[in-house]
This record gives sequence, C-alpha cells and structure tokens, in this order.
Amino acid sequence: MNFLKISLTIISLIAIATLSTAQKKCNCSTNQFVDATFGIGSSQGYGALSYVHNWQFGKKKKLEAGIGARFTSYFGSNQYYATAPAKLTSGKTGPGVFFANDIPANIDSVLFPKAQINALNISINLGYAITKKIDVGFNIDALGFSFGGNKKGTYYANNGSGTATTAKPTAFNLLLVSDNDKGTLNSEFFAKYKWNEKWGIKAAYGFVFTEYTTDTKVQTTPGGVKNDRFRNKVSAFALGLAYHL
Amino acid sequence: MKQFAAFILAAAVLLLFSTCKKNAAATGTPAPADTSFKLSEATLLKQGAFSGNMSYAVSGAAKLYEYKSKKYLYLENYNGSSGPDLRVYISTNLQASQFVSLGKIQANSGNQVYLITSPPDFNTHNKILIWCQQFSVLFGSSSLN
Repeated sequence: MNFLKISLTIISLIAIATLSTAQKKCNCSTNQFVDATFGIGSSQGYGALSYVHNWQFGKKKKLEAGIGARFTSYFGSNQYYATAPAKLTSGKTGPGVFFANDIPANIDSVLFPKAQINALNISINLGYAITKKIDVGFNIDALGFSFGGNKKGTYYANNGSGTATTAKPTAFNLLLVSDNDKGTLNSEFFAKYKWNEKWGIKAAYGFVFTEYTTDTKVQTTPGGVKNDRFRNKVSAFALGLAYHL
Repeated sequence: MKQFAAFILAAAVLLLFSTCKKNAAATGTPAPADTSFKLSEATLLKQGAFSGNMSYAVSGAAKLYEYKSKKYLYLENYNGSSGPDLRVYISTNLQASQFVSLGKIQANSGNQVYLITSPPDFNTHNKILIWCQQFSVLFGSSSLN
C-alpha cells in the first residue's frame, strides 16, 4: 500500500510540474476535456475515464499535444497471459526488440478464469482538428500504477506440465519499447465528432495490455531464467463520450 | 498540411513504444496419434475406470502401458461428452493443481493412444482427467491403480 501511495504522489508531482512549466512558457491556447470510453473484445473488455490537457499549436490551432490522466478498468474471463519480459520473449531488450521474432520455447502462459485489473496512468495525447467538428487523435499511457485482487490461475509450460498458481496485478506501469513495457497500459487511435462546443462522441480502436505477476516464479525457461510476469493484450473497437471543459 | 504530417509522425513514433505484437500464449499442442504403439506387446502398469463429473457422461478405461521403454496412456472404449478445448491430463488431484497435459483429446469416442513424453511420478500423478482447459471444468476422471 505504501508503494501505491508513493507512486501516486510521484505521478501527481510530475503532472503538476509539467503542467505549470508548460503554461508559463507557452502562449498557446489549451483544449481540456474529460471522456469515458468502453471497449469490448473477445470475452474481455475495458472501461476508461480520462482527463486530457492539450496545448494547441500553429496559427489555426489544429495540432494539439499534451498530457492527461487515465483510469482504466480491464475485465476478462478465461484469458491466457503469456510470458512478458522482452529479454525472454525475443531475447532482446533494446530498440531492436520491436523487430525481433519471438522465441516460442521461452513463452509459457497462465490461464485466468477471471481477470480484473485497474490502472491509473499519466497519458501522452496527440490530436489534430480535421474540421471544427471532427478531431482525430492518438493517446498512450506512459507511467502509473495498477491494482486489483489476487486471482487464481493455471500455469502452462511449454513441455506440457502445469500447476495451479495465484497472481496479482503488476504494480508499476511504465511505457518503454514494445515488449519492454511493464504493467497495464492503454492506448488508442480515435476520431471524435463534436456536436456542440461541450459534447462529443468518440469512436476508437483501443489497445490495452494488462500484466499479472505470479506469487512465485512459476516459469523456468530452457536457459534457466525464472519468470513471474505474464501479459495479455487486447485490441478492441471502443466508443466514448467527451465533455470539453 | 504540415501540422497534419507532424501529427502523423508523432503518433507513429508513440506507436513504436507500444507493445503491439500479438499474444503468443503457449496453450499446448494437440496430442498426435501414436502409430508405433503395439498394444499386444505392451506391458500394462496401471489402470482405472472413467466416471463423469457433474452432468458430463464419461466412460471407458484409462490404462498406463510401457512399450519399448516409453510410457503410453491408452483410453479403451472411451466415450465422453463433447466440449470445447478438452484435454487429457495426468494429475495429482481432481482440481488439476499439478499435472502433465497430453494435449487435446483425440476423439470423443473409441480407443486412443497418447505417448507420455515427460512421464511424471505415477505414484503422485495417479489421476487421468478429461479437462476443459478453456473454462477450467472437469468432465471426467479415472484413478490409476
């Protein structure tokens, strides 16, 4: 619990410092909004509440970028979580991980009959106003923490053996490069139609990955490396409602 | 137009940071039929009768054989309810707390042979389970004696 409090404090301080610095330096106008988004995938889905503070650039103020905070709640049933660390999935940890092939012998899985993870993250946001009524954008979580109950699951090794296990959400979330990412992070491409100055509806293609850490290091790779982190990825069409402040 | 290009570029860079590779969860491989096994030349080690769990009907016998220094599981006159993602486990208990999966069940009826590539200790792993992996449900079991 102390870890959660410390993480929340650090995240809040970073957010406040970034916002105040940016506002002092920039004469540009801002676009602030909150939105609620819901996405459904195969036997899984998520809901997200976001606050976004974007600065608008250029003469016509069409381009905007900024930061925000997003609370994501993921739920799934009978979901497989695969070995997460990049050094195991691809044998690489640098930028090359994005283009590296998976190493199947290193990838085991944990099946959770019920999965549920909540995450609070700082997000990075981009937007472009195609017209006065229509925006497109992209956002991605960068840093935060996760919480949720312990879940029972079954670990499946590549050699066919299996064992019952328990796991909890990986506490710390951090955007790095591809499979180097840690924890639970949400991202989406969206198009938003503003039917008046305050309200808009959003259609999005969301990509959420969630991560559990097993209570013991259940996996031992053929190379002898032990692992307790397992990741699930869901991509889903989502709908949302936005309110401009 | 320059701003739109900047937006696309920035979004593409951010996308590179995202883990957008597809899931590669290992869920076990389907059990291949073993054609080299000869029942008449194999030595019977243990056996037990199947019974169904809850409303699932499972009957027949599970027999553990040794043949040419390899262990085989032979399902004799097997007849079981159909279901999604049914697997054959050699387990320590009926909850599949610790098990070796022989892969997907080959058929819902008839005789079938499974090569046990990584034989467990059959003194502790003495239950044969017909297990729905996707939904973690026991269809039927047999105790090897």
